[in-house]
Amino acid sequence: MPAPDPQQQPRDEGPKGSTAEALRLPGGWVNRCRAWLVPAVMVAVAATQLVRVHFDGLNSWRGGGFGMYAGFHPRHHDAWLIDTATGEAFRYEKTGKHNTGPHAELIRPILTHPSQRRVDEALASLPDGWKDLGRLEVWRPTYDTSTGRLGRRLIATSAATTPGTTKDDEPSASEAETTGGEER
Amino acid sequence: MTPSTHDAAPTNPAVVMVALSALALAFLTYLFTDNRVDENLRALGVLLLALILVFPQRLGRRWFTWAGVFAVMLAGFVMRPLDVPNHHVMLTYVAAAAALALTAKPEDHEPLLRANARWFIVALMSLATLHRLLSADFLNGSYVAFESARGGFLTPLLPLWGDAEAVAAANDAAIDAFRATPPDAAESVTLTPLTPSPTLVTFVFAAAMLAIEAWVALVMWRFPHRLIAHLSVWFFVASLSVIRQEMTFITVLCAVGLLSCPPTLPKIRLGYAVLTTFAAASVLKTLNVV
Repeated sequence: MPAPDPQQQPRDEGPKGSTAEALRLPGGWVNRCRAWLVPAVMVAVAATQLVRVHFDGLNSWRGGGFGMYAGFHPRHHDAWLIDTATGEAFRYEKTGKHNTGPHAELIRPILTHPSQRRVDEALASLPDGWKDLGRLEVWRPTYDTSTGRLGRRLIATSAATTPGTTKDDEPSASEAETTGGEER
Repeated sequence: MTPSTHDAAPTNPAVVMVALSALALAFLTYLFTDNRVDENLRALGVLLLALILVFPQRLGRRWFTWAGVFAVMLAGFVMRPLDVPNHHVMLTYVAAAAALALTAKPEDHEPLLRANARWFIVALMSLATLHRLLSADFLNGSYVAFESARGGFLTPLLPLWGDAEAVAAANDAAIDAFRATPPDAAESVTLTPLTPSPTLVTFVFAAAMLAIEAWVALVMWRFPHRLIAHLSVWFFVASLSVIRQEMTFITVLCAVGLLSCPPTLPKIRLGYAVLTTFAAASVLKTLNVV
């Protein structure tokens, strides 16, 4: 079908209800940019976020990629600061209502992006005395639909260790998987 | 230079004004809702949006007003990039698109805003669908079943469903108690399902979520000028309001829907305006703002 000649076809006429009419844009490349630039940026940011979700541990709810309701929200994750010498554990969660340890403002951000680097940085950012406590861990829920069992899975742990504790002593993510949370 | 053909449908200044006012209302709703927004940014944003609503003709259709709103939203994003909700990000894009479109000639405002809004909806729904298709927690049903067991979905219907509300509250308490204990890889807690055959219910529910969003993305991509596309958006809004009362997001979506609606569907435009106002009012009423 030949393209309509703009000289013969006034701007307010045309095949009413057609896709072409509905999507017709004002002429000129500047207007094309006005129509496409922001959606293009949106898709580029979302693509970056998608990569970070699948390769860098970012939670799908955050980072501007529109991954809401695709997985567990960061508020269902917990960070634990564990004194490896005494076994005492301090909990940190997103809402802050149930935090049991100090310096939550330094630890809570890792709940949305629990990558190895960020967990290590969070531990290193703690004041002297706290950073030497031991280990920082991030746990997420697992849920078995058929049995209704809720468990937890370790998704990140700090590399820093106290004397006498080696990295090898720490549970790996697969070892830490609970019986209640089979990942299918 | 390419001759200016201006072959787009004519702009109706009143429609653009109403659509931008609805958008300003959506922004205001968000700024009042999210108490994590920096106080100074919130004050600046509210001032700009109030000016838009009070002077819709003189300031609402000026690019610099929306550039100011965009700057406020962008600053909010930069200050806590991994902590802003997705509708903050969406509103940031919408403000940028509005500012950019309003730099064009007045007769071009409407088609440019419509094109942007259409692609926002298509991208939003496509990305949400893609995330779910790539998420093991969504595909194996664990996320949906977990949220269902704690009453996170279909909350308004729970009182009508036997003792579902009490079971959900008990599950929620069990989850809190479980999470309060130091992590032990061997421990678990069993939640009581709210419905019989939870696996089947979860599968149907998750499939329906995927299907609705993928459908909205498809029809807004291929048939944005047809009634079916906008009725699909309305259906999505209705289902979202029942499944999860995300009224702020619904306000944003209705305002963007209004911008995306072609002049050939005046009743649908009116419907979007009413929905935006209703959703915004319900949010602001909850917050005792109105």
